[in-house]
Amino acid sequence: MSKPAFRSILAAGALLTLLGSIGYWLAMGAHRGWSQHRVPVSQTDEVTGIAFTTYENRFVPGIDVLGAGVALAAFFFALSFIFRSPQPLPSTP
Amino acid sequence: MKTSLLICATSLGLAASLAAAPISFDFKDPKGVNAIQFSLDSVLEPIAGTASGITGKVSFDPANPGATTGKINVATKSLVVPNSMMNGHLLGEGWLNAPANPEITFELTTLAGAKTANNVTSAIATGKFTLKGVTKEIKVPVTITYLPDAFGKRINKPEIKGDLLVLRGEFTITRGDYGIQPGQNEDKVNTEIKLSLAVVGSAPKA
Repeated sequence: MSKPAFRSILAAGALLTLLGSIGYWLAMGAHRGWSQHRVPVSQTDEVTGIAFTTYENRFVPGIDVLGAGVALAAFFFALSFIFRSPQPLPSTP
Repeated sequence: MKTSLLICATSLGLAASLAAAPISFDFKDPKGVNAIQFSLDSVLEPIAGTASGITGKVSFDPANPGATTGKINVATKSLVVPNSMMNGHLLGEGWLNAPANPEITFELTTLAGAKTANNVTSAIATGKFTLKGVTKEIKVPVTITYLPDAFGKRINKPEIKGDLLVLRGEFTITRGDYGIQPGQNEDKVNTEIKLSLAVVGSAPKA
């Protein structure tokens, strides 16, 4: 595979990673805190009036996941510069 | 006649003394909803969680709420926060060291300034709070709600008689006072931990 083609693949991968991570984070609730591996659910005991918390076992990505996605996209994008086409040498007069 | 009156008086006296006897409430909740909520500010968002492993007994006399005594225990390993990695750190050696400190306890020694209205007593509870092996005396404003004959209704078995006792209170501790990373990571995790207690004890009648 030629260097320009590989560069294009990395740049496209970076864009897909960026959009994918933003889209995944938005679709999963755009939680602006740390990721949650269990989600607190508030309930109330009818007789005593005590408010208590139960947990649903599901994953909610936080900004750490978003940050990791953006960082990975930035890494792919930076990597793509290694595979630039060789620049022609400036012509001497 | 005199004998009858004496028997009546003795019976009434006995009944009165039985009615006024302190009731022992068990805080291992059959419905499993007892929990203590905790929260502390940190970078990005407050860390909030619950501790559900509550046990203990409280002796409460409806005729004399000020004489309430008892002890509430919390299993350290029952502390839960939504993020698994944080949970691991919280229970790990650097923070609570749950294997070495399996229980957090509050032992009520005195209840001062008890005021009761409609089965709800407000008071200042003084007791010994133990966390990570360090015991300190603290004062906690509490409300104690006595719910006579509510046990059966709560467990959907009205035929079972018994009473409930609800304890509520909020207090704040400084983690460094209990050897939890004293003077460390203060820029990331606040030194003050807010604890909120709302637990129910049961006293079923045989």
